[in-house]
Amino acid sequence: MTEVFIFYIFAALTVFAGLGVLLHPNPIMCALHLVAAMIGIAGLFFNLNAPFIAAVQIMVYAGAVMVLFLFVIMIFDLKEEGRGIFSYGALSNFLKILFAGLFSGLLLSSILFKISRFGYLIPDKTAPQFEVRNLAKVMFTDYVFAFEVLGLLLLVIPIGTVALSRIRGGTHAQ
Amino acid sequence: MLSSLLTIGLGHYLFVSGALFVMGLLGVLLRKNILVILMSIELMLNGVNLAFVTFGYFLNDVNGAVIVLFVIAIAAAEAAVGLALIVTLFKNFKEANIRFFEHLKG
Amino acid sequence: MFFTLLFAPLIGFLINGFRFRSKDYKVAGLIASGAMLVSFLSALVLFVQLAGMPEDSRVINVHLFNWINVADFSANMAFTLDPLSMTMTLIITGVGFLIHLFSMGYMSHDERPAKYFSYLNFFVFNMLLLVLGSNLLVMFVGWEGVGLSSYLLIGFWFSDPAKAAAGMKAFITNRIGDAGFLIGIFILFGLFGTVNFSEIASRVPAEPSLLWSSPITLACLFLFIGAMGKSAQIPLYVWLPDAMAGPTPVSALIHAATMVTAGVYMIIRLNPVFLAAPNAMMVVAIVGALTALMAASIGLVQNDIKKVLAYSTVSQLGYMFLAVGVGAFGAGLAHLMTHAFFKALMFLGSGSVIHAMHEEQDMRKMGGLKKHMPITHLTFVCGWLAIIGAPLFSGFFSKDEILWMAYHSPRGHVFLWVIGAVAAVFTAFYMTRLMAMTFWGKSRVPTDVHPHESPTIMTVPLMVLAFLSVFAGWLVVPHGVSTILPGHPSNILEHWIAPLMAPFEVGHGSLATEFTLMGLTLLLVILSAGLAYYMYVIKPELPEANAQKFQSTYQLLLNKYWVDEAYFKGLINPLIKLSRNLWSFWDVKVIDRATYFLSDRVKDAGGGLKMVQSGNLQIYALYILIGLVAGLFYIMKG
Repeated sequence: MTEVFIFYIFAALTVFAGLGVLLHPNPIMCALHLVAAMIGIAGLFFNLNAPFIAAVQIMVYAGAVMVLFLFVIMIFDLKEEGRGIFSYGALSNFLKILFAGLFSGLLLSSILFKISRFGYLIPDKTAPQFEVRNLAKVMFTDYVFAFEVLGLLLLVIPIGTVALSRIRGGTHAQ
Repeated sequence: MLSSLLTIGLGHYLFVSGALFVMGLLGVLLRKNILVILMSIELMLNGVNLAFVTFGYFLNDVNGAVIVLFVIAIAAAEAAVGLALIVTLFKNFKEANIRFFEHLKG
Repeated sequence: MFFTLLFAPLIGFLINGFRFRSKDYKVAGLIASGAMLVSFLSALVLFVQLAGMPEDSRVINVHLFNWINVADFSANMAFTLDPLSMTMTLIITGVGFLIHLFSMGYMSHDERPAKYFSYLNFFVFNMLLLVLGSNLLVMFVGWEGVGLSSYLLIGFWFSDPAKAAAGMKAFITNRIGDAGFLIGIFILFGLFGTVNFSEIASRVPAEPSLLWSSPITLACLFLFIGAMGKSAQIPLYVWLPDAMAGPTPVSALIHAATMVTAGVYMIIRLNPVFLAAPNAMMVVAIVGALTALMAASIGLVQNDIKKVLAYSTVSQLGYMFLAVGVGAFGAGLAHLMTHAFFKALMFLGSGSVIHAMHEEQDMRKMGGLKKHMPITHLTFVCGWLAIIGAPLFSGFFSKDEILWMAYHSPRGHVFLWVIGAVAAVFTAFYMTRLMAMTFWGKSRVPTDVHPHESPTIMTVPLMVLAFLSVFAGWLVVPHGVSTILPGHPSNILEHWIAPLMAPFEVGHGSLATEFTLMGLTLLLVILSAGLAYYMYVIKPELPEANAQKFQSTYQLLLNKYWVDEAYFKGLINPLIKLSRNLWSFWDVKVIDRATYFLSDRVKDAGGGLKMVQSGNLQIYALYILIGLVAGLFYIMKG
């Protein structure tokens, strides 16, 4: 029964925080809502018997990435956005919402009608499949190539980032 | 009815996941501020992550979690680059409105 | 050896072509003349080599590469050196070398000597391609190449619009002929399945085709159209007199000695085919005879020294076609050779005169140049005697042979002889008139011009050519004449090329008839020359009086029978009008509109579609979403 409560608490937190990101006019508040959503998702991960991933989620997202976001916002002092928070264009906005609605409908119907076709899956709660040992085993055997490529990516990214932030002037200089 | 609310299954998690994804989507489509758009993308990625872990859990499969780890790493990298770009743009234009960058001319 | 023969002029062309800005006529001339000398010496070596072979197998084949190979059709970049092409090669390189030397003197004041000499070498290269090619396609390449270099050289002083126009006229007139030549090649290929000369010769049917509409007759007629264009025969001769706009050595080399004889050479080369089409040969002979007569009659009254020589060239080419038309290919080649010598000589002589007169070409402003230019005069006299057919000079032998053949050959006719003889009489008149007006009589030179003898580099070629004009005839002594010249073999040249000739028996005919006709012609020629001398030297006021008396004839001849005007009125202007109408109606109102309509619709569509590419990132994201929704729909449905 506890996990039912945990689910509902974190699900509600996640959804409300997500709405906050979507709707709050102030970027700082958006970022803070995003942190809340990350924490909610981490809770859901925990509930899904994946404590390691939950920990990574908190550390990487709520920790590193969000700090970056907040730094940027603070450095450039992005305050309230004037004249609405949404892009203008009535027709395009209508189309965007229409298709997003269609998409949600399709998603919902697939969750309600297609997933149910698999019957009611009962997870083996004692299975240690998300333990770090097992994760590592799979990651360093089946996914070792992807892992190496990821390592390369993580090497390139800082270089690119530094290069980008060092650009002075260029064609866009004012 | 009540039992389906009290027994947490695949569908419940997927619903949250889908909700996160759609909210992120709407954020990307509608918001004006580039930073917020970037945040919305993170939101969408997290929705997907949740779906992966959910399926991994209910199907007793470890692959779901491994892919989530990769996604997190790539998302972090993407955020770093995206923010660097935004910093550069903002330094040059003092502008965070995505519509400002509509025209690809120097 | 063969490669130095063919490619030395090409290399000379390339060297001078790359340094075309150079104004140093000596260097350019030495490069070009050196290339020609190498070529000529190679030709001599090859000639000795060829002459050393047994009579029936005198041929050197050179295969460069496979040029075109499509299904049944194959054409190689291959060359054949046999007695016929050897003769032509010697004439081209020999006369060409002399004319290059002469050019060094003549073009010494020109602005662009390197360009001039590179064109000249380019011409020689193409001419060698033309005569050496072992199949019709290589010949055609040379054929077009000489046309191109002729165009470039006629319009060499293109800043004068009249000269540029003369170049274009030559080029366009030649295009008409070339189209005929190409069609002729196509028909021959369709008939024999090959374009190779030796293969064609071996596949020609033994029985001549007497039908006008048989393919072989048509092929010959179309080939003859090509020859008409290149060798300036009626009705395509109009470009040659205008071609005199080019530098005089060019007129000597291209428009007298070599290029214009290409048509004659082509017919001699294809003699088996032509012999199988007697009707086509008849056309060739008649056109040749008429051209000889008409051009000679125009030459009677022209006042421009080069124009006279140009019409004389057209007329002499007519003789050559008369010869090949009656089946006397050897006589045609003989006259081609002697004409190359004496006409090149006279053109160079006239060039020397023009040079001395400071670019004056009007004979009415000359006269009495004999004492100022003794060498030019003396060599010119040799050429004059040769062309009017004074006994024992080269023209006498070759022309006499042609006239005799026109009468005696089974394909000949007495009328052809009459026309040829009248043309010979006219020739004697206008050439004597030219001599009289230029060199003899009282000087009419304007007082501010001081004629002088040309430098050595110009007179040496004149002397060599004069020597050849006088003595080359001994190579082509007709059979009849050889009977009274004991010990001298007859028709050396004809025997030399005999292995290439299809069997066509003419026989020798009655000696009495031959000598009677010869004597008659000679008498008329002497009378005519004497009349000209009387009219232009002894009584210079007579021509004017006669011109008044025979006003209409005089005007007709002076205006060249109004052929140019007739062409303009009957052909060119209607064509221009038609083209204008086509342009203003069909092109502008139909085709342009249709294409504009299409392009406008495309533009509209693009204008509509460009809205999609707004640059708005979120709209692009929307497109992704739309695609996603569509994909999901598809999956869910299935």
